[in-house]
Amino acid sequence: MNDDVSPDDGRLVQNVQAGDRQAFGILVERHQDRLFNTLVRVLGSREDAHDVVQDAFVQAFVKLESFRGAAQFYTWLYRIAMNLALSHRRRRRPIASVDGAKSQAGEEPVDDQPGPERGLIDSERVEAVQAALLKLGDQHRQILVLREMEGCSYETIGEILQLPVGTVRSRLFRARLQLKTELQTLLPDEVDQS
Amino acid sequence: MADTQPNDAFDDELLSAYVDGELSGKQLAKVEQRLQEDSQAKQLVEELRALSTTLQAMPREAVGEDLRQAVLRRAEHSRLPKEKQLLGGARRWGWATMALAATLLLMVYQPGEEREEPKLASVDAVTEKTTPRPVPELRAPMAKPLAAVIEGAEVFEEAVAEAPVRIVHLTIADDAVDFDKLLASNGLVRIDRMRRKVTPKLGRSLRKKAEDQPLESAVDGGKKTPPVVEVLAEGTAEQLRNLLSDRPAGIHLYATRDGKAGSLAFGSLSSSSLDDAVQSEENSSRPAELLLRSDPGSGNADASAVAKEKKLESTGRIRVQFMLHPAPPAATNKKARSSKKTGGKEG
Repeated sequence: MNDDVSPDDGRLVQNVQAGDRQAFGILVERHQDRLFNTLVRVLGSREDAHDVVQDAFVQAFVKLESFRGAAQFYTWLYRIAMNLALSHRRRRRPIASVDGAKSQAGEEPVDDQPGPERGLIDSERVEAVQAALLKLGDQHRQILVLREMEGCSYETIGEILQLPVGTVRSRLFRARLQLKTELQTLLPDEVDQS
Repeated sequence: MADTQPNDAFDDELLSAYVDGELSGKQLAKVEQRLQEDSQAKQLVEELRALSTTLQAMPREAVGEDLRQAVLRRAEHSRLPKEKQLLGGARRWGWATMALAATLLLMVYQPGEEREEPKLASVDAVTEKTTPRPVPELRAPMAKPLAAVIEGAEVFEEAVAEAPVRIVHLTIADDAVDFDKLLASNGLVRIDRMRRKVTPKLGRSLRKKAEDQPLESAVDGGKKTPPVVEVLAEGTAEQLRNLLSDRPAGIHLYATRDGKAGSLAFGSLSSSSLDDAVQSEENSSRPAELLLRSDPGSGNADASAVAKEKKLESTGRIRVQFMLHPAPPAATNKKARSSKKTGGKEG
């Protein structure tokens, strides 16, 4: 995630506040995939992520009048989304894994943008990592996803999760230790090699 | 990977922050000094870096569709005052000019490969301000029936094609009609999806609503019943009609009132019969329900005539339930279904 405020976002927000609803559509288009990816990892399910990402945008739209620009739009949007994700997890029974969702939606497209390590991680490992993430508590999983997958700075994570930076640091460390332990169980060979 | 046994949790937090490039000044110098002296610390840093690499290598997931339209539609709807969300101001504007605010619940039971005869329940739909719903008596279902409910519909003649409709369907997970494709091919947008186990409680609830033997047997025998999936989608009434027209069976419209189901039949579904039925609500004052159901075996009546005769009462809300029966099962399946029926409780 880019920590720089996109001036375009700010301008679009102003346009929406001035009554240009189509400007919000641009914001949706701009952020939907990134937010969706985050939510898939947080919720462990494409279906749930699909639901929550829409809920987040709807809530953002409805509340946009109260958005004063003290935070960046995406930070604010992510805060909404993370809160909704927590609520969603509490509401739902234990949910299907992301693998189950994929088995249903095999043809659903996946972002093909090249990542630095894309191609180096096989599907089995992806499943193991996702399974390990799902064994973490919601707060640990959220913070890990924001840091490792979205590349948020501690300050940004603090804004999204409304935590002091010191808490971000300690929570992130604990989350990493726990994930490391989970992966030792699920991927002993790979982890040992690392 | 060695177990981490930090001798100082705070220092180890600094190692984690060091990996993230979040240190500066004295803290950075402190960590760098420690890394030169402490092999365990150095190993922990390497492990944390490896962990980061693993996580960052996870593939990125994309939505796979443009959410703008669905989000904006829902967002605009959410901004309406509650009463307008539900009633759409029908009375103020009159039937002929009001936007249809319909909620449609579509349920499908697909009982799995070993069970050819699907079980159709009534609807446990979106629950906004809904009084207990009378459930029509269902006749013996055919293969793979669908049921749907339009709820909270303020219907009018001209704007019906423009109005939002919400559809929910339940179906057995992983072994179902591809509703995403079905919806998409008719221009309907899926806005929600959830998976639900057919728990005994849910089974009882569905059975109570349906009072339908095949459903009962499905639920009773459903210890291994796969979860059902509910999908909520949005589109226009016109798109809904198009979706319905994809189904080959004759569709009949029934009205229910005061908890007594199946008392009226409006004939085959068509734009006119739906509109006629809806129009009949105009002068009524109490809640009514309309059940629209597929029933090739019945050919009841002129819709508008029955509707006028009964003068359905309305508060501006109606529910319409759809049960769509796809093509009858193949002959080879009938035998199997017949044998299964004998094991079920007769309704």
